[in-house]
Amino acid sequence: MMARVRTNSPSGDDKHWMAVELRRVTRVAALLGGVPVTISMVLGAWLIHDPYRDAVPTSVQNVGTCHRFASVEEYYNTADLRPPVPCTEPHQTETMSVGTLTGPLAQRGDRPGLEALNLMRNGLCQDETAIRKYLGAAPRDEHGFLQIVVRFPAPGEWRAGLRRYRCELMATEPVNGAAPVLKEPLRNAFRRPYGGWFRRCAAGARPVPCARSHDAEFVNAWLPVPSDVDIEVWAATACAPYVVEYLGRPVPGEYRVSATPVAGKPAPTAACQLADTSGASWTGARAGTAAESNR
Amino acid sequence: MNRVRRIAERHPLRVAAGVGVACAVGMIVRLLLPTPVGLADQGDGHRLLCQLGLRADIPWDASPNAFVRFTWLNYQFVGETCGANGTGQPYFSSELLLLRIASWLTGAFGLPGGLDLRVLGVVCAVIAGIAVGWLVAELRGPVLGRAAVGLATAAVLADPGFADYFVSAYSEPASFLGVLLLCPALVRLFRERQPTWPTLLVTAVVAAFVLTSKTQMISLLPGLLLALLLRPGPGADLVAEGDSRSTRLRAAARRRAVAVLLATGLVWLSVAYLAAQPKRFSEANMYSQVFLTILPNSPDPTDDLRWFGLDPQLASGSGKPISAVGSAAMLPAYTGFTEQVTFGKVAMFYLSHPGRLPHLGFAGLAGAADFRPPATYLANRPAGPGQQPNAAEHRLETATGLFALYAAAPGLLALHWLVATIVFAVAAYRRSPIGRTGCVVMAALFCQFWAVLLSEGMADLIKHMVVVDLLTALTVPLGIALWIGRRRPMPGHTTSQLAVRTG
Repeated sequence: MMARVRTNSPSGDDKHWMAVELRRVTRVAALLGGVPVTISMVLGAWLIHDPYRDAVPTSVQNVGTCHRFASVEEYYNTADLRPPVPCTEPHQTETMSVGTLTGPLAQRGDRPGLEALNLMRNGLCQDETAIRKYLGAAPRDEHGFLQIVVRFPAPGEWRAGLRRYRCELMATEPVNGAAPVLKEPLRNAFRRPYGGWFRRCAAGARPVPCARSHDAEFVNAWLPVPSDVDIEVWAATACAPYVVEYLGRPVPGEYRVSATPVAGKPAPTAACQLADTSGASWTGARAGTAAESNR
Repeated sequence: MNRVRRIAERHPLRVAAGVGVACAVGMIVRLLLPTPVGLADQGDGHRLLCQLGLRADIPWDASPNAFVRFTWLNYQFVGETCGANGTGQPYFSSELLLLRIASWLTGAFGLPGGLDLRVLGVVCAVIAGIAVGWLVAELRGPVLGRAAVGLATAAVLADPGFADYFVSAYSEPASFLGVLLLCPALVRLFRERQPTWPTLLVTAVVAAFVLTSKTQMISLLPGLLLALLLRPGPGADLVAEGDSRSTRLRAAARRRAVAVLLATGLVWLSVAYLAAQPKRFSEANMYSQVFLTILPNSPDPTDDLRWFGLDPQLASGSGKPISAVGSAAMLPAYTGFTEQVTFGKVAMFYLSHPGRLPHLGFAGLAGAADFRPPATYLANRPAGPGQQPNAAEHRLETATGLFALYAAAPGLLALHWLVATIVFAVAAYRRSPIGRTGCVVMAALFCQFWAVLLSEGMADLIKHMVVVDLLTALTVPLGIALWIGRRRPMPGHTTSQLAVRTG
């Protein structure tokens, strides 16, 4: 059995013991500190992409910029920092207007939570005049099959003081199971054949874009219907001025003025239409402003 | 039979390897044949996989949880689209490691897309096989009995309530496999009289893997720290008879120096992991705790809101999920909620309102007992001709059978926990490594149970209790291991923990 002699000053054995302990502690500390940090860094870089690497600031995405995405998560996203794409290429959204947030929530230094932003979103981008102006719609052009998407600044942009929001237009109909696609710019689309995809027509009782086969075209005139009248008889007189304005000329003989009841209104309401006298279908709009007539 | 037993006793490691291989192959077959099964994504998968540059291959207008989608496409998300629930806050999980390996193998096998979840299933099955084989190798007792423990463990894991997670986009596979790997690591740690460096390090690495798999898995930390710190570590040489008390203390400290450092590392890792978790998770959890758990069961919701320093007007949001119409999060008075309600404050609330705890505990017990309700909202099967949406699969329902009994009488589950705790505690007192491992498992189970109830609360309770269910189910093979190993005392059981230095 070994005996150990202790003195007040460290002996050679004690110095040796301390050196060994020091080396051991250093080794363990290096393992605990260095190795995990190195592994974390390597793993982190290997595992996770930096999502902000290709981000484009909200501030440079102006009216008329177009954006492409593929997933539902991006559709629901609060901010969209994807690089814009040319609007002549297939895309999902197009910035129609921009605005500045005001009110108590906008005063906060950090961006409010998702639910608060959703609440804020409800009051934004609802300016019908601005939408119609962007689409190049004449007073009697009725638009549809479009939805509004509101984009807010990213958290970092918000903290930096940006309060700019974007109002974007997006198609509503998925294409073969993929996200709805815009193939051309929406700016002044109603002055081009492409606008037919966003002009409201009807095939029977079903609303369809005028670019598809339809048997009636809406003329953006919703009128209160007196009680106890035959709606067709009433429409022939009440809707005629609107249909004439829509066509930009008198109603040709093969067409008739019609109306269809609108549900969900407090008072009985009907939407004026242009329909075929024989009930036949056609593709493309008859509107005077439209360039897609191809009957 | 005797001949088989003799051969098995001569080659215990081969038996362990054989059980591991059988478990891995069986799990692969169970997951992929005759038709592959898995677990549909209810939206949580995106936040994990988007970080790897992947998106679900799912029709635009299809329900994400109606069918399992195996293929994830390469896709570069930009900005806050990727991260926790649309906030861009990164979501870290050790599951990313498994997913990256599966992603790499998907490409290596020439499969379409950036990740095929069936490949992840194979990766998980292989790791599960390694864990089971390792467990068999670490057990003591008759070799065939040990093999039976391994097969029982594999059978637990093969239940659809656990196995289907292996073919999913969730972070649970890392939690399950981590828990499974911890069992043999702990058995070895407790079996060695003076655990060696590699044993301590492997235990710590497995612990780090499981702790960082999900936020709620941090609840395993107390049990793991006890496991590490109660064992004398390497370098335990050596105290001479007649040495002073300070020398003995110094020797004891030296023996635990490695364990202390590793434990410190795990604490540091846990704190860093919690700090790095998305703030959105904390908000969603605290919202669920207040508006889906505390207020709906409160005799006076406005009084509770005042206790938290919140506006009583928020009581209208009671019982409504955070993103639902009428949610309190949409009210102006919600401003400041995240600053007012923290995990610590919730704990203080229950301490000052102890009468609420029994109700919460019973609700949690029922949630844990439900395990796998017949009508699941997450599908197990892929889309195909004639395949109904949200269809469940029923292969090898081992644990499901047990939990069906507990669902009918949740008190039986509490009894299961009580009996397991007593059995493992008695065995641990007798220095059984399995008993001590069982004690850590039970500590993890109880901490996990209350961590779920005090964080997410009643929101999606059945899914969040799945780790509690796994730990509960694992007490069965551990109990069998205890029984088969009872006749053979482990080395060093009766010797002093202090070795005597010899010259």
